[in-house]
Amino acid sequence: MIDRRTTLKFGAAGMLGSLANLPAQSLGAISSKARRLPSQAIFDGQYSESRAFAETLESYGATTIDLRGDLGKLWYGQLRSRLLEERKPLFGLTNRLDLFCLEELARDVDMKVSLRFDHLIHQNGFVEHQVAGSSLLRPSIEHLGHKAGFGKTMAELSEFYLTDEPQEVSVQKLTGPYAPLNKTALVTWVIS
Amino acid sequence: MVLPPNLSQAEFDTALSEFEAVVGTDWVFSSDADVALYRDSYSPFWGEEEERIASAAVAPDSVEEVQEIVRIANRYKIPLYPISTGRNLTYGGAAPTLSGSVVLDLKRMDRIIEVNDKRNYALVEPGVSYFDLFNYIQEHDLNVMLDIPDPGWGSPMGNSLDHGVGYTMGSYRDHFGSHCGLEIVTAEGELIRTGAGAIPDSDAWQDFHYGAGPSIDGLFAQSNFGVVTKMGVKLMPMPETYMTCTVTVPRYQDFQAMVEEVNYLEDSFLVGMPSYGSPVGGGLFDPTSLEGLMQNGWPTIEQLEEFVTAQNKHAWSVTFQLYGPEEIVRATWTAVQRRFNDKIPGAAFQDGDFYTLPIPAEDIPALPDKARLGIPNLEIFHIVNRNPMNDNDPPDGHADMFTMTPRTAEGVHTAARVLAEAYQELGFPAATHPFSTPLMFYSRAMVVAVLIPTWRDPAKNAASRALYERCLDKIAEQGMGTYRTNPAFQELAISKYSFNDNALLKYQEKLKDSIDPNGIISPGRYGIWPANMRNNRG
Repeated sequence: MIDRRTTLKFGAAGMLGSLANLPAQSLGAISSKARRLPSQAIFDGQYSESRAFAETLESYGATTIDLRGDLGKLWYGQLRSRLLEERKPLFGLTNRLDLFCLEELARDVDMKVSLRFDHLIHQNGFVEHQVAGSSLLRPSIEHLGHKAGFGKTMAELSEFYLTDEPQEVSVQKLTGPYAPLNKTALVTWVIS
Repeated sequence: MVLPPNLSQAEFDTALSEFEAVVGTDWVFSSDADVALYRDSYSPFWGEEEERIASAAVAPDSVEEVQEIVRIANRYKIPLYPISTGRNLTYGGAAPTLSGSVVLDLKRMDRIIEVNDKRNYALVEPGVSYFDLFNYIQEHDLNVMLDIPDPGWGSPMGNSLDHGVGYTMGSYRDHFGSHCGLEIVTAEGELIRTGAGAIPDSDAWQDFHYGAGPSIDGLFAQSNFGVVTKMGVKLMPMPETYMTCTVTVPRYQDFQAMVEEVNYLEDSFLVGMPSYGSPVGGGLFDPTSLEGLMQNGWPTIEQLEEFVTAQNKHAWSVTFQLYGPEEIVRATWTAVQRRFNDKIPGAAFQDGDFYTLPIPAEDIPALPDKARLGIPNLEIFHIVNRNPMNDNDPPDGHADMFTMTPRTAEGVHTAARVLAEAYQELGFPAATHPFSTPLMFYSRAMVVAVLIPTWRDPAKNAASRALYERCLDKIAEQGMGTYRTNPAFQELAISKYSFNDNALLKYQEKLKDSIDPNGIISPGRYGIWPANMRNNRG
């Protein structure tokens, strides 16, 4: 785990690059734009990984929203108007279904999924990770391991999530809403 | 990038510049990433050559901008595909019927022009969602109830024009049936209003939607004859109370008598949407519990009665929604019980939820069934998300196959039987069975529904398409059809409405050629092709 103050003191790219298992050339390709901490994030309080993601981002100063309850109420009640005023990237760690709905809703404000890490949690606790939308960040999933606890790491890596890479269209609408019956399908994502 | 048919990249670039001059550069979307937003998330052709892909999208903010866009499209013969919110997923979402079309995204036209709770209507633009309208009614403390689809993220206009449906009283849950007045930009850019709206300065547009002479409103639903830019919606006055109540009947053969009684109650405007069920049958998402019963073909009546008796449960149930003053709601429930007791020996009754309306905002989150109270929500995704059919290899979407049947037990059983045959013929486990029950979206027709999975995997999608097509063929052999479907199946669905050598479709295409001579509005939608693209059929 990483201490935020240490990161700032010694340089975010180097420290987090090591944490994320990023090769040096990848770090070089991530511009200053990339090293921008999330200012707003969505989480789902029913999942411990999602809570850890949110708590970590809150400690970095991000505003977080728990989407427990109806996502439509959240979108039409506050998110849409906020994003229409200012299209700041939205970060999240939610289940696959809520990302699916948010991705459909985000067309209202011409925002789209630009990065996603899919985390498939098996009943025995084994976690599979996949990344889409960034070739630079692909090596980082090796660092995530296959056990619980990735939520905090996903938050710690979040300042690498906005890259100058050409946008990969294939990251959009990558899955439908459904999850396997006996697994939990979580996704860390960026809508920008 | 996909281009509109018969247009060069240079010509298309020029047209896009002209669109930008009308709506501004921020509201023309042509990059691959932007256009991907308009893909059909549930496409049965995902990733294949036949997947419907837009060439671009343009989002006007006003009627005048829509008219300008239509004129430009005519000059370049660019097909336009109007959407309101574009989230009617199982019917194609925001993706056009014809690849290369420019999506005319009406999301910015999101004005609620009026909600009148003395005359009980709303007048809205295309981009207004059910959530928006609900929030407006709440914020302004208006005494009306919405009838909404599920999920509620669509728009009243888009849902109505797609023959969408809701969950309250029969006259409201047929959403196109409860529209009251349209404003339309024609395919040539003219602006017309229907009904009393055609009278300059009329205050009765939403009260009197016929006007005089032929009503043309129906031409703009599930069609491609114009771009609707305003629509009136009839609203139910907020009922004083809401109650649910359930009737069960013991024998398999009691279903016909139950259906006849429900028809009487619905057609007398005594009850809201009836929800049929079977205490012994598997649910929509769990038909497997009855597989054993069907191992040797469709069971006989005697076998079915034995099965019901062995379960020690009643064969059928129906749950009613009652709306109105408490005295009337309770008296209606008493009358419903008397009528069932008179007709069906052994009928049993159970009181359900009772609410005084409107529901306080703080109590809404805990409500078990918001749709029947007109409260938009996205909870249905959570219901569908976790179902036994997903197993460990969940689909990525579904194409809903809705069979419209006569309002008889025989109609429902026939549809269930032939749909089961279609599944079994193609090697799938049957999704329907002798206890399949109809949905009463429309008060005057029954719907037997199956959800056919769609995938990101082309091979699996090919199998699903074959299954969908087999279902359509089988129900047509019984004189039945479907009421709406994904663009991938629209031509086949329409081909079943073929009376007198397809006279209906031929007539629709004569109209198309007359009022949209360049064929720019949604070519191919519901099988209607303009003359210059008719060779696209099939």
